[in-house]
Amino acid sequence: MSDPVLLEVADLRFGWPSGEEALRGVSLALAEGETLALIGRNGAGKSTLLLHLNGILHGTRAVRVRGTPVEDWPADELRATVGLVFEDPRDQLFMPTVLEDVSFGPLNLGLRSEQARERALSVLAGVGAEGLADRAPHHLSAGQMRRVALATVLAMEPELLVIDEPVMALDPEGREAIIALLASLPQAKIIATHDLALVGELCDTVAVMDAGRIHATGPVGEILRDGGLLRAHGLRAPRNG
Amino acid sequence: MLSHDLMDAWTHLHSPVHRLDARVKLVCAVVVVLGIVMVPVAHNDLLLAYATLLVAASSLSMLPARWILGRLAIVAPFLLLGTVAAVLLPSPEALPLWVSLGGKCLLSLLTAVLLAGTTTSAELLRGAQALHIPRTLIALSGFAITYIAVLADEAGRMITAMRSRGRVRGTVRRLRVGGSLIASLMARAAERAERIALAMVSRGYRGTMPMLAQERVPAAQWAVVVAIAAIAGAVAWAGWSA
Ligand SMILES: Nc1ncnc2c1ncn2[C@@H]1O[C@H](COP(=O)(O)OP(=O)(O)O)[C@@H](O)[C@H]1O
Ligand SMILES: [Mg+2]
Repeated sequence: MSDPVLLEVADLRFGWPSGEEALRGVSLALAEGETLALIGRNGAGKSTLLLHLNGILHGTRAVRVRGTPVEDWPADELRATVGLVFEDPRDQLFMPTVLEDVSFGPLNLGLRSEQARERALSVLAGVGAEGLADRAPHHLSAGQMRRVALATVLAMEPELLVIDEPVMALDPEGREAIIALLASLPQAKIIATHDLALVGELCDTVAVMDAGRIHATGPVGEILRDGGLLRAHGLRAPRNG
Repeated sequence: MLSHDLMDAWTHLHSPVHRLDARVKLVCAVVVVLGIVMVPVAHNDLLLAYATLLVAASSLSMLPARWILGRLAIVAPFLLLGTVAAVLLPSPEALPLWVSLGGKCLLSLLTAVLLAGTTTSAELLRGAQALHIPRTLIALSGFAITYIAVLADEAGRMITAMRSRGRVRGTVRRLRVGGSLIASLMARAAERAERIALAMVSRGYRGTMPMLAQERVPAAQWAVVVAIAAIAGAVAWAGWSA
C-alpha cells in the first residue's frame, strides 16, 4: 500500500569531512503531489540536504521515502523514485550527445536500447528540446542546458523531483520558461532556491533553512508575507508577492 | 567559446566528407594510415598517390586550407630539424629514409586532421563504439572531451577575468600568476569531477557505461571504403611486387 507521506526527514544531521556542520537536525515531510520550496541564504545547507534525499549521502537512517529508510532501498529503485537535478547543468550533462545523456538513466534502469531512445526523445519533446537530440551538451545555451538537465532526470520517471536552484543564471525569459515547464510537471517536487518569486508561483509549502536548521515551515502565502522572518534569514520578500 | 575553437570548429559544414558516416570515415582513415606506413622506403614516390588522395579529400571537405595547415604546423619544427640533419648527413641512405619518415608522418597527420575536422567528437566516439573498441576506453575518451571543453571554457573565463584587472608586469609575477591560475583550474576540475560522479550515481550508474544501439551504415557508403581499400591495395602491390 502506498503511503500518503512520500518523503520524511527526521532530525537529519550531517557534517562534511572538512568539519563543516552542514545539517544540524533537519526535519520535514512531503505529501504526494505537493511542491515544497526550500529557501535560505547561500551556505544554509540546502544542497547538502538534497544530496541525502536520493541516498547519495546516507548512513543515518533519518530519510524515509514511502516509509522506508533510503538505506534499505535497492539503489536503482531509489534513484528511479527520487530524481535529483543538480544546480549546475554542466555537472549533470556528461555524455557526448544530448540523446545519449537523456538515455543514460533509462539504460541504467535496464531499458533496452530502442525503448530508452524512444523515452529519451519523448521526454526531450516534453521539455521543448526535441531539436537538440544530436547536439553536444557542452555547446548548448544556459536555458537549453537546464531543459536537457531536467530531461535527463525526467527520463527516469521519478515520483519525486528534487531540484537545486532551477533558474540560477538564466535570463528573465529563460527563467519564465523553466518556471512554466516546472509548473506543468505533475510530480511532487522539492525546489531549493532563493528566488522567492518562483516560490510564489510554483510552491504549496515553504521551509526556511539557515545554518543547517529549518527555522519555519508553512503555507506559501503565510511565509512569503512574513517579511521579518525572511529578513532574519538573509532573504527578501518578492515585490509582488 | 574557447572549447569550440579547440574541437568541433568546422564539423558543422555540409560537404560530402562531412556527410559520410563516422564509422566509414574511421575505417577509411585506418586503411589509409596503414597503407601510408607500409609504403617501402625504396618507393617513396608512391606516397604521392596518398598525397593526391588526401589533397582531393581535403578540397572536397571544404575545410579552410588555413585551418588544415594550422593543424599540420605541429610537426613543422620536427620536419625542419630532420630535413637539415638528412641533408647534412654524409650517408646516401639518409635522405630517402627521411623523406619516407617525414612524408608518412605528415600524411598520417593530415588523415587524422581530415577525420577530426569533418566528424564531431560525439560521432567519432559512437563510430569507435561500433567498431568494438572497448566501452570503458570510449567512455573515458568521452569524458576527456567533455572535460577538456568545460575546462577550456573555465580557463578562458579565468584568463579574461585576470586580463580585465590589468596587465601582469614582470616575468616572475607572470609566472606566479600563471601557476596560481593552473592550481585553481585543477582544484575546480577536481570539484567538478566529484559532482559529475554524484550526478552519474544519481541516474543509476553502477560502473558500466550504457550505450544506445546505432543505425546501420547506408550500404552505398561502404562503397567509399571499398574504393579506398582498392587504392591502398594497388599502391601496396606496386610497392611490394617490384
Ligand atoms: N562538497 C563539500 N565539501 C565540504 N563542505 C561542503 C561541501 N558542499 C558544501 N559544503 C559546506 O556545507 C555548507 C552548506 O552548503 P550547501 O549545502 O551547499 O548550502 P546551500 O546549498 O544552501 O547554499 C557550507 O558551509 C558549505 O561550505
Ligand atoms: Mg546550493
